[in-house]
Amino acid sequence: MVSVLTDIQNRLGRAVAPGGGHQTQWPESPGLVLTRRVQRSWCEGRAINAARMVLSLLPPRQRRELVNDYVDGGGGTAAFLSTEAAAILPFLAARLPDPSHALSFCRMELGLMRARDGVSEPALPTRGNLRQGRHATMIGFHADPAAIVAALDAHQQLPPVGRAAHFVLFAPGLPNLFRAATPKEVAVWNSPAAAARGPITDRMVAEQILEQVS
Amino acid sequence: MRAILSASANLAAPVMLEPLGIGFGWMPKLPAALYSNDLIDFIELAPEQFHRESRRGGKVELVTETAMLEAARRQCGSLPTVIHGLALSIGSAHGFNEICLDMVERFIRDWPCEWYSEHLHFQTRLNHGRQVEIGVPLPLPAIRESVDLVSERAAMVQRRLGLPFLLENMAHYFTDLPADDEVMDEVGLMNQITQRAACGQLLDLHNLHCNAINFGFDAATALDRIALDRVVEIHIAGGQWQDGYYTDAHDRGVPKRVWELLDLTLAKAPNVAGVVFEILPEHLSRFGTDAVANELMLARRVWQRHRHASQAAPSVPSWFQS
Repeated sequence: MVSVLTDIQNRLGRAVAPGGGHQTQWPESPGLVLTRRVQRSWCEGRAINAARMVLSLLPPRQRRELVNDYVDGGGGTAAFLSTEAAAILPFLAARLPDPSHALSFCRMELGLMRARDGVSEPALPTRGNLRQGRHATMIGFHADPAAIVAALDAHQQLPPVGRAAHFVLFAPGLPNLFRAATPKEVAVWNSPAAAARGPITDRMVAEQILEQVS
Repeated sequence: MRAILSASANLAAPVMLEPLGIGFGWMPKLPAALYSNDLIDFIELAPEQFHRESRRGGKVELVTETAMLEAARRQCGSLPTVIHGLALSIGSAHGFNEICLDMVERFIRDWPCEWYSEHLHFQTRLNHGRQVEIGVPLPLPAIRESVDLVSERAAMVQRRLGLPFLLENMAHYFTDLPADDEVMDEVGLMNQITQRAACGQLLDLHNLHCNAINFGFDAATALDRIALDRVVEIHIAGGQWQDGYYTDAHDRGVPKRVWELLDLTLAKAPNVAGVVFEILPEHLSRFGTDAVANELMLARRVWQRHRHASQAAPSVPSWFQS
C-alpha cells in the first residue's frame, strides 16, 4: 500500500515536471504555476552551466532551441553538475552539425569526462594486443582549438571550419588529461592492433591512451 | 555565550558550539581578500560543489574534485567551517540520498566542520520504481508521517556523523498542502522534528519572510511559535517579486524586514552560533563584491549588538537536559 506521503510526493512531483501537470490530480493554482516556472528556470540554468562552452559556440537561437528541447524532455534536473553534463553533452552531440566547432568541443568535453573517470582505474596487463584505451578519446578539431577559444574570449568571429587537422588525445594518464597528437600517433590510434611496437606505442600505453589485452 | 546542541545518543558529551559570528559561502570567483579579512568569521561550504558523480559498472559514487577542494582550502582553509548540503533530500518518502551522506561523512573526515545542515524538503520521487530528480525542492506536508520519517532520519544522520545536524525551513508557494491537526503547519512540522530528533534548526529568515508575505501571516508572530532554542544558524538573503509572489531568489541585498527579523531572533534565540548571508553565484557579478561586503558588515553590526550583550549570561537550553 502506498503511504499518504508517497502519494502526495508523487502527485506533487509529477505536477511540477514538464508536461506532467494535467494528469496528476494536483489542483492547479498560481503557486503551482510559479513553482513550475521556477523548476523550468533552474533546469535551463543547470543545462546551460553543464554545457556552457559548447553552447557558447552556437548562435543564440539555436542555443535556445536546443536547451528548450533538452528541458522539455525532462533534462536539467540533476543535483550534480557533472551528472547534468554527462546527460546534455551526448544530447547535443547527436544534434549538432557535423563538422562544426561546437561538435568538436562537445566531443572534447565528453573525452575529458571519460578520461577523468579513468584516473583511478586499476592498471591493465602490460602484455598483449593493443587497443584504444577504455577512457581515452581522440578528437579532430576543424581549426586550431586555441584559436577557437581565443576568438570566443574576444567575442570575435570563429575560425572557418576546415578539414579535421588538429588532433588532440584525451586519456587518464596525461597531465591535464589531454595533449596534441602527432601524425604517427593519429595513425596508431586509428589502427592500434596493427601498430608496430616501439617508443611511440610504449608512451601511449603509459599514458593510458592505448591499453593491452592479454 | 555558548550554543549547546545534544549531538547524538552515541556521543558521551553534548557538543558545545562556540559562537562563530558571520559566515559566507565559498565562491571561487570572489577575490581571496574577502575570505581573509575581518568580514567573515566562518565559511559555509556545500560539499556537493567539490564532488562529481561517477558511474562505473552500474555503481554510482561521488568522486572528489581535488583541484577545486584544494583551491577552497587555500582560500579559506584557516576559517572555521560549517557545511550546508544540497542533495540529501531527507524528506523523500521512498528514501534519502545515501550516497550523498556517505560523501558528507568522507568530507568531514578530511575537512573538520562545526555542524552539518540540510533542507527540510524533498527533491526526488519514484517514477516506475526508479528514483528521479524533480529539479526543484518541494515542501513536505505538515503530517504525522513527515514528522516520523524525517525525525528518524535526522537522528540517524546526527548519530552517524557525530556532528550537530540542522534542518532549514524552506520557502514555497503552495497553499493547498495537506496538514494534520496535530502538526498544523510548517512551524509545527519543524518543531516536532527537531524535538523528536534532538537536532537543531537553521532558521532561514528570508524564507520565513517569503512565506509570511505569500501566505499572509506575520513573520514576527511566527517567530514566537518557533522553538528558538533549537536555532543554531540563521540565513539571510534577498529576493524579488515574480507573478504575484515574493520569491526566494537570492539575487540581491537583504530587505529591511529581514534585518528586523534578524534583530528580533538574535534577541530571543539563545543558541545561535552563526549568521550567513546568501547570494547565488550567478548574481555576484551584477551585485558586486563591495555590496557583499556591505551586507556582511551590516550583519556583523546586528550580531555584535546581541552577542556582546548576552556574553555575560551564558545559558543552557532547557531541551539539552532531556
